[in-house]
Amino acid sequence: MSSLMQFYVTELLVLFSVNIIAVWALDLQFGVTGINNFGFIIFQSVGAYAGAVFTLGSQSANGGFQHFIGGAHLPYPWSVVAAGIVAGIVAIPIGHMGISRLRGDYQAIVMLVLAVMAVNIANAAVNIVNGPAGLSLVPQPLVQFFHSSLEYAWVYVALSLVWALLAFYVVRGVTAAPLGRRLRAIRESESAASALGINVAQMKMRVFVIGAMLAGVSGAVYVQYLGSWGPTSWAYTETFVFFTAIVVGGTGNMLGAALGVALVPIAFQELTRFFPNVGYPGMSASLQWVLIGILMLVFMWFRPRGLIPERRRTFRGGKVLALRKAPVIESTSAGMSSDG
Amino acid sequence: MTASPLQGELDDNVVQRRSTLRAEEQGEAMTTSSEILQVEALGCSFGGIFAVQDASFVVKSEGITGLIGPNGAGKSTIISLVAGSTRPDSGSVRFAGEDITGLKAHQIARKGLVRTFQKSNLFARMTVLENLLVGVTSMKGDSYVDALLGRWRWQQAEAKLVDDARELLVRFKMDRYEDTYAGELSGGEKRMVELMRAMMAQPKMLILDEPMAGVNPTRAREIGGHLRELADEGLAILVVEHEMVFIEQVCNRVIVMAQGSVLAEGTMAELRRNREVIDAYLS
Amino acid sequence: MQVAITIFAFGILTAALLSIGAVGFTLQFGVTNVLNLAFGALMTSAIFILYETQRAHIPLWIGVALAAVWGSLSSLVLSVGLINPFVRRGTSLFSMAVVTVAAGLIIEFSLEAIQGPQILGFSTQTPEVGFLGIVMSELQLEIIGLAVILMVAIHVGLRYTRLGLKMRATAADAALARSCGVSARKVRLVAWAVSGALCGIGGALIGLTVGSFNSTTGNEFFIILVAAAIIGGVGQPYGAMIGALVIGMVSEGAAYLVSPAYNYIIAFGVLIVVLLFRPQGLFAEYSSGRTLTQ
Repeated sequence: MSSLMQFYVTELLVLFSVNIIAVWALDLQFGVTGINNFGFIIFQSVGAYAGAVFTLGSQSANGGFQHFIGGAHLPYPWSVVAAGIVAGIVAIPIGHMGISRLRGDYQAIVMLVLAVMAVNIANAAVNIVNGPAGLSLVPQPLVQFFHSSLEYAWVYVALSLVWALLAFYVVRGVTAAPLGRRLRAIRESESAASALGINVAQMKMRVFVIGAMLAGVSGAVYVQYLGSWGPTSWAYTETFVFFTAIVVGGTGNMLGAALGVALVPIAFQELTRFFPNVGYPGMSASLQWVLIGILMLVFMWFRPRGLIPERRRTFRGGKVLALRKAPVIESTSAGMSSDG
Repeated sequence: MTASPLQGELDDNVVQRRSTLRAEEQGEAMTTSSEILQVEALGCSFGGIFAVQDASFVVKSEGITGLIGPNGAGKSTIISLVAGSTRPDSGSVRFAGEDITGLKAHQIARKGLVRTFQKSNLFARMTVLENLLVGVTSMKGDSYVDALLGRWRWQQAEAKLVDDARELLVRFKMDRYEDTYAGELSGGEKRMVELMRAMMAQPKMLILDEPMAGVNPTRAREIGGHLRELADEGLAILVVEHEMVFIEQVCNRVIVMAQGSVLAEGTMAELRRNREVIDAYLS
Repeated sequence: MQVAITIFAFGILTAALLSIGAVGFTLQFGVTNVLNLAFGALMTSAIFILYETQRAHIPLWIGVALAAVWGSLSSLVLSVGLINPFVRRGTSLFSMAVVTVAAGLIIEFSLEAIQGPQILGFSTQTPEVGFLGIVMSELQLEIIGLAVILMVAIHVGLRYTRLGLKMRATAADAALARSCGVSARKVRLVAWAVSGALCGIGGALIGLTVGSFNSTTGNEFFIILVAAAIIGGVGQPYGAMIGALVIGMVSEGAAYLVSPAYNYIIAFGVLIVVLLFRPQGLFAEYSSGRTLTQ
């Protein structure tokens, strides 16, 4: 493989890992528990910001042209871990406001407004996040140990895959255990779950925070790869991409989510590389969004469960075996979470 | 949980007659046995309209108590208030000697008071067996720590509960539906699953909101039989129902509600003699 | 004192601009029970329509009227072609929101693909008017006037016409209204048409006032007018008017007293306070069959 090809492949792999962590987190919140987190991007963004700030050191470094709060030289991997924790902390007040008592679509709108607000605030608060210019010169972790940038590229692939593995372990552990069953029960019927002793508000809150932490990790891994962070890259539309990945790939299961990531953020982005250069430069980006919107609508109409739907869980002698696929139930709402 | 000797072996009529006799006899003898639920002056209003006003009644620990009343009498609201889904504006509820007024629904369920819903409220995209497993109030593998520690931590405990659930399915003759999605069942089958799921919580008291709604007569008799068995085994049951035949045959005592408060309580025989009840309802 | 007058006057202007769209949005939600998140993109399309009419030298207010017609037609097409089929299927509420977001993205980025990312500008100039120590342009005063006329028209329409009565009934309880002989389908079509017209007018005027715009302008302001609608209580037209006033005043005040960059941020702060204490909004009613909180 030529160097150029290798760089291309490593970039795809890193992006895949970053996106899969985020999508597994969102699927845990949305596909499994039924939390309509339309503000998801906020947490990935906060994690990215923290991941940057925790490695940039103090403000005065680098000539002091960037303004931000917090600031440390945390060694790897603690900068990423800390970023996850920060995102989790931010999730607490937002979760209290957004997820508990509002009906599904109203929740979506509130979260959307919050997401836009977050970007507005970031743009205006020059002292907190360096305003629209964002942060740059984020150091690459562990780069000092490697001599060639190609070698480092593969090293970073390995690093991001490790984080993806961690996310896999967490999400899989939760969904396979009886805990996962309780979360799905909450998705199906909060009133019935309450009547059986499940503290719905508390459990939703916990999933929200844990999902946010994973999103934060995803953001940190991403920012340490890119080297920069700017408020405009974290628009509410990014959340939409993740939702599309889940709807297309398959809700409520990790394999479906992985397929969704491979198809939507990755393949889509790469596909547009090969579009002929019509119109103005960047037109392919606009068309990309149009196509994502159309893709979402097509799937929501024709195949709302996604390409790999959630599988039926059966018990054979105490072990859980997934056998047949779940048929679509006509009586409940088509597709996504069931709510009132 | 052993199968009752009556299960499927006797003529339905005989079962009914025996139940009727037993119910009334027990009802009359029950005036001094202990009370598991005491509702005192419960009230609640929605936007200025009183759905329930100054309602008081007791439910005995033994036998099946019925709750009847015309539409709009406030029966479902009172269930909601007792079970904690709605906060009462006034009054108190005592369960098993403890004041549970104002507690949230899940807290009350954990204390042993489990309710079912008027409209079928199952977890549609989960299998019948999974529905039953969710009924278990607490088990290994419920917490994040357990989940992250891995399968070895909770697998055995879950397997045991799967066995318990399967026994229950066999008892209620629903074992072939173990892997069916709950959303695909018929109305009567759904009712059975709701009942079984509530049983998995090992409640001290069950509140059933119209368990016969939309159920064919054969199935209804079956459910009635199961309820009597459960009551005989010591479970306190409060049933909201419209089906008077069912009430007469299965319930020991009956509470009558009208217009948001309790009109009278007693055995069917006593109530049939009560003027107010006759005027409001039984005519 | 001078500051107060300035804030008040421009607050009214902002409120006027926001109220048209906010009332349109909230009215349509009230009657159809669908939160249309493509509203912002539709507003953007209306701005483009007005821009094209201005380039063709069509008189301004005719251009605005055309934008209204466009808004109405496109909303009807959206509702009949996309939204209603999904609703009839029993799609969950959150999924409906996603559907409308998807539609909005398609519209917005189609506009961007056609137009390109460059920023376009209106070159409408009107004479300025000075009073009470402040200076506003004639156009701005006309906009305020139009907003007032529209608000009064909505009020009169809702309160005193049969159609308005039917709309209010359908908003309060569609099933009950149907049993009284009100055709929910027709009422909803009217609601879409009216809200579409308001979307068109509101969007066009916002573009005109802001001066320069691109494919994202509609959505930027949509978020703000959604905040106004939420504060007032979604589904409550009068609430939306109040919400628009609140946002207008607060944002102008913040722009003046703090810094222009913070104008909407502080208004959003008001929204957060409302969400914390009364998430369904100030004037939301407890209507049967539909509550925003559960």
